[in-house]
Amino acid sequence: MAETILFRMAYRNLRRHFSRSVLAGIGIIIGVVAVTTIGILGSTVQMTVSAQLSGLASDVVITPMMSYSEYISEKQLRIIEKVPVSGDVTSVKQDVAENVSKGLHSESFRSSIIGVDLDRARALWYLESGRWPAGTRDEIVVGHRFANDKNVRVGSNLYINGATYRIVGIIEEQQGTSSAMLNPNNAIVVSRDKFDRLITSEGYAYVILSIKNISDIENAKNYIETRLNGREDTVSVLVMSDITQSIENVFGTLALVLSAIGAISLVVAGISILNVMLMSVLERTKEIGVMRAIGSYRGEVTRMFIYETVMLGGIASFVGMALSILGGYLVNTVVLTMFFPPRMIAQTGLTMSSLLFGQQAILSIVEGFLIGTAVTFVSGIYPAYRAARMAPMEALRYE
Amino acid sequence: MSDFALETIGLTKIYTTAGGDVSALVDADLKVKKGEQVAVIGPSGSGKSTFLSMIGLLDRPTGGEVIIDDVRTSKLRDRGLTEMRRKRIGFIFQQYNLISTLTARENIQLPLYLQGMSLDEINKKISSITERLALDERFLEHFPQQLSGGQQQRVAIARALVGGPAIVLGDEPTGNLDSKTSEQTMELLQELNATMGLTMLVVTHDMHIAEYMKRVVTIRDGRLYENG
Ligand SMILES: Nc1ncnc2c1ncn2[C@@H]1O[C@H](COP(=O)(O)OP(=O)(O)OP(=O)(O)O)[C@@H](O)[C@H]1O
Ligand SMILES: [Mg+2]
Repeated sequence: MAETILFRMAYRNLRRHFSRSVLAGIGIIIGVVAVTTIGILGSTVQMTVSAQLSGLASDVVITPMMSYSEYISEKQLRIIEKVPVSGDVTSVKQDVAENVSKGLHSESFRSSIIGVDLDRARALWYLESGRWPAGTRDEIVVGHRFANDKNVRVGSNLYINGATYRIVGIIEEQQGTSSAMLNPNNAIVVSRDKFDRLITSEGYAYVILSIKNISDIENAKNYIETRLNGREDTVSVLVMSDITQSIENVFGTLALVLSAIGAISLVVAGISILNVMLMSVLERTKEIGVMRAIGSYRGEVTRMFIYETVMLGGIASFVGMALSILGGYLVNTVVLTMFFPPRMIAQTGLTMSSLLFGQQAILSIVEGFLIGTAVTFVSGIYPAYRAARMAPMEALRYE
Repeated sequence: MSDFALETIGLTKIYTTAGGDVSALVDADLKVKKGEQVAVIGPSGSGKSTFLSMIGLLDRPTGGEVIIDDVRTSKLRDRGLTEMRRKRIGFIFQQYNLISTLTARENIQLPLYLQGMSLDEINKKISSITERLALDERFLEHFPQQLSGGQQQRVAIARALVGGPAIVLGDEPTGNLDSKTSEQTMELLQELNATMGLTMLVVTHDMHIAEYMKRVVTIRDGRLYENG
């Protein structure tokens, strides 16, 4: 087989110019690692963000149309509760408590207060300390920042509009993304009936429908639109999956842009391969002439040089691929430990190995390898073509 | 089928250079019978190598025709010319021109690999040619740069002959060898000519070497003359 000897010549030539081959290879390795690591970074960020958003994805948030009313009325809530899809309804009252203080004689302040069914609150938030209010006792929980700013702890008392309440739990700090609407960081959270005792409000600030099957979201939305917005727009219906989708798209685009930056380094590497191969062709002009004289077809000469480049690119891309796993490990460590609190990561169920060996990361790694090989292949085509085009006699006379 | 292994008719080569056209070969007519030995002599720059490269199908003539085994080669495309070289022609060069990344053995194997032979067939051919040329098995595993000039030229001759060509072309095959090795090489070629029935055309400017050949032609200023 002609390929046997062509391949051997390609290999020997790489070996002969070992340091030159290694240097050209390093360019490819760096390029592959850059493309892949950046790809993994992008997908990790995207996956982490979307895992956190996924809790929201099935939510439909209904807010009052301000031109119609400031609240969702009790009557509207009854209608919403009859939505013919399975899921949970969380109705939320939110207002400002005008007269809050830590002691009967201490200075009073205003605070946001949320009234929500405590069973639903339990499903939405974690407590960083204490417990949820039990039974009918006068117990409340407060947000993380509220506790910090007002310097209160589990066990502290709060006087709200004249009545005494005991803080029994503090809600973990919520990041901007989770439970976008319902952010209790700066608020006092009480059960609905206590809220009604404290504040006379005419309705609900918003209602959240947590729908079981994503496929039902449209139905739920249509139901509410026809029942409540039939004659006049009274509420606005916000489908969270639309929003999370667009956030995820933004991160997807970001990952793509980052990869493109990595690809630039591969182009540079490709140029250095091109240079090396042109040198290789030039140096071996005479040998090409000899091969042609002996009876090598143009295609055989071309292939010999293509083998040389592909071998170089293949080995370098493979090494790059191996190093990419290391690079991916490093960027994931940074993302998982520095940008997102551990608790939040635990909640999403994402782990280092699921991120590094997940479908997306593997795809990035394989892509890096293929792109690296493809770049070297493309860089090798022109020199190989040049080699084969030389007239045999001219090549033989070359010194 | 004619009796001629090789025929040139009005073969002309004009090189176009920045300094003007160079008529390296003008109207050269030559008929070489099968099994014939021809020495091509002439002063430096007279057009000997040019002539040989046209015959060897390494370059296209400006005019005229090269006929090998009754095939008018001017009609062939690159692929056809390459196939002719691969199957019909063996080259021996002055600078041996062995491939530096291949061992002596691999250099001899190269034309056989290119012909698509199996390793079994290749090995058979190699042992028969090394026997015939009395090539020392020991240096077959060496790379060209580890061999003497004479050894390299023997390997080059083995490479030229291993594929079983009908025509062997040598451009000053002994030009880089001392006189003793030159004589040995010429004797070897003589013997191969006798036993294998090869048609041989050897360019040389050494009259002593030319005397080994049965027929001598001279090129002067690009024109070919038969020596009487
Ligand atoms: N590729 C080329 N381009 C331009 N001119 C060339 C080329 N090849 C050969 N010539 C010219 O053609 C003429 C014949 O050259 P050629 O090499 O055939 O001579 P030669 O008889 O082989 O000489 P020598 O004995 O020195 O090898 C010379 O004048 C040379 O300069
Ligand atoms: Mg010459």
